Amino acid sequence: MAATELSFYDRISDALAKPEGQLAISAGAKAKYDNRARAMSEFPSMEITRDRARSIRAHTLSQLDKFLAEFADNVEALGGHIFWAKDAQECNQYINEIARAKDVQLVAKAKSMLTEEISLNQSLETSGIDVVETDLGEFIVQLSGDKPSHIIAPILHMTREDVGNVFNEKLNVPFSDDPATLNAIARTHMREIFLKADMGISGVNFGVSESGAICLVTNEGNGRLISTAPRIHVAVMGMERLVPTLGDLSIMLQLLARSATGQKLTAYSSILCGPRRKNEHDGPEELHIVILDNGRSEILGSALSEILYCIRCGACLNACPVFHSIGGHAYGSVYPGPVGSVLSPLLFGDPWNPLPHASSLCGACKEVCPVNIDLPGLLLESRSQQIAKGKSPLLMRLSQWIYAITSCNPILFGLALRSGQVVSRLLAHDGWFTTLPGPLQGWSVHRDFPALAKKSFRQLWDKPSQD
Amino acid sequence: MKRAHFLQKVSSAIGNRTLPDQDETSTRQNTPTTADLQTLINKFIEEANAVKAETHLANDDEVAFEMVMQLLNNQTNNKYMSWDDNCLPIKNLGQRLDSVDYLRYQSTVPRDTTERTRAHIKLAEVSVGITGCNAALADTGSIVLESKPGQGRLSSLLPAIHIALLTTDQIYPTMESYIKSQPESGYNSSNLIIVTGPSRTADITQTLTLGVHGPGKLHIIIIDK
Repeated sequence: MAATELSFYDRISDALAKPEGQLAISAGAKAKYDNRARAMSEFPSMEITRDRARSIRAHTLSQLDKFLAEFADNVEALGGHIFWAKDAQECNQYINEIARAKDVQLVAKAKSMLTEEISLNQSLETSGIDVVETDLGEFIVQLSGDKPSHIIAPILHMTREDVGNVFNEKLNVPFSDDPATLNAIARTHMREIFLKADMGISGVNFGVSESGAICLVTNEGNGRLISTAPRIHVAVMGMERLVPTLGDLSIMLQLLARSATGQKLTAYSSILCGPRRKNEHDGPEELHIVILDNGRSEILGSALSEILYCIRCGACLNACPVFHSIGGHAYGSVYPGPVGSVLSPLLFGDPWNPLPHASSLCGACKEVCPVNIDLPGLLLESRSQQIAKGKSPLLMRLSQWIYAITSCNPILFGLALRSGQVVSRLLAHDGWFTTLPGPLQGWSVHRDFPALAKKSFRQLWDKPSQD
Repeated sequence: MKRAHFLQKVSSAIGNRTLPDQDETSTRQNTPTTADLQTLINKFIEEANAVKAETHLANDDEVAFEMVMQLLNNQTNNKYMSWDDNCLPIKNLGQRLDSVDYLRYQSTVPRDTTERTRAHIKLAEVSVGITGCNAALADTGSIVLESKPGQGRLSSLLPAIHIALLTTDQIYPTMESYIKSQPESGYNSSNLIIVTGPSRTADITQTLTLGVHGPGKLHIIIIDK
């Protein structure tokens, strides 16, 4: 993924300057957060299931080479093709080659963050192939030339009027802001694409190594259509996405649905075991599964390997106060929110280094994570790795150095406190700074800064007041 | 990249490291659900209705057949597609519908590329798809379909209305209990499908709408066996 021209901080300023978008994001994420909380409270053995899910992920990754080999053997025994891709380029090249060899003109795609990660659409379009996103949200993103702002809800940032305008302009239909009407327009438009597409492309929610099956979950049914109607189905799977058994899959599916949307199960869980078989009525003639590394083996070998437990439910985004305020686009990554803040610098490099710093480490993300990933811990680890490598900004290093010296020396610390109190008394109004001086002013553009208390804790400790 | 090289990279990344909670073998297990048939049926109906599937109880095949007829009668055209007769719980359903002028479309899609697209476009005219079920899951209100010979995928996918015929002896308490008792279902066919309510989206401002790409209506006729 290429770095955008704007810096993280500029993108945040942009996001904060759009109050309608910010409200849509905040309301949408809140609704999803509440749906999850309700679904989990109705789940009788939630904590037990969460523990089991976590051990399944840990167990799988600790022997990932073995499970990948078993998975690949089983897929090939079923008549499917496996391609091992080191990076985005190898993956995109392979899919382009199949498309060329099989005379593919039209591709119907199901929503997949992994294919966004490797910019597969752009790669196919460069070769002159039509690629249509079939998930309703992704389709709207594609029509409007936008980017998804949430890994589960791509158009979380859009109002219904926005969607109505996109359809009106791009599909030449009368303006409507009624979701049911817009949905019906999309259904009609998309029908022909499903029926005529030569190739369906999807990601993989889970691969099952004991059977060589892949599981796709969609609420709309587009995952089923693109893996049934086109003659070729290509599924791109991140190499960490395996579970050992069908029983393990059933646990993951229930947690994924409850965490992502608050459903007990997604409307369609489709478990695909090889291409169409003899005497079956329908299904693809060819199935290609691309197993993609793209930096994951380095993560597996690092102190941040736990981030690979992630099952991409998006619950941490919905819980995150930072995400609520700045929305998905500001992260400038396919993967926003807490999980994205850990993943993006690892997958995409230094331009994403500021992301792990945009967190108050409140822990709301860990609390909702279906596999209990220690996201605050990983964010801290990511920060300290950057500092160890000397990759933190100069101003931050300088201020941390000053802080370290000051806080280790009682006299300096007392002096700093007292001068803070003096500044507070002179510049703050009613206990708040409305603007901060110098390099700190960015902080106070969108909110006030609390003034220091008249008496510090240490002063109160020394002389408790009489009242 | 070569398979051996890829796997070598993965195994050297793992090395001798221990991943967080790798050895935590959870001894705590969910208590297996046991329930009598009536409780199961009631739970299934409750959950299926909660996800906006419509359920209908039929005491025998005849009542079920009448229900299918009634659902078909409400349609604008007389075209339908379905699983083969021997895969449906109502005896000779297709033959009987043919005799009252319903038109069953051939649901086997040709393997040839051009013929395939032509068949798809023809099938898109159909308004109703009729299938049986291989199982149902009470705690989520789901039905389970296998795409075996005689049981095409498109019948439950392409038409706007899906009628699923379920018999009471096919209902399991949970997905775990189903997989435990039918482990081969994960291998049996090229596609095992778990359907939980009709097709839906809430992509546009979190407003639920039904029938995006799959059927917007799901009727489950539960036949007492």
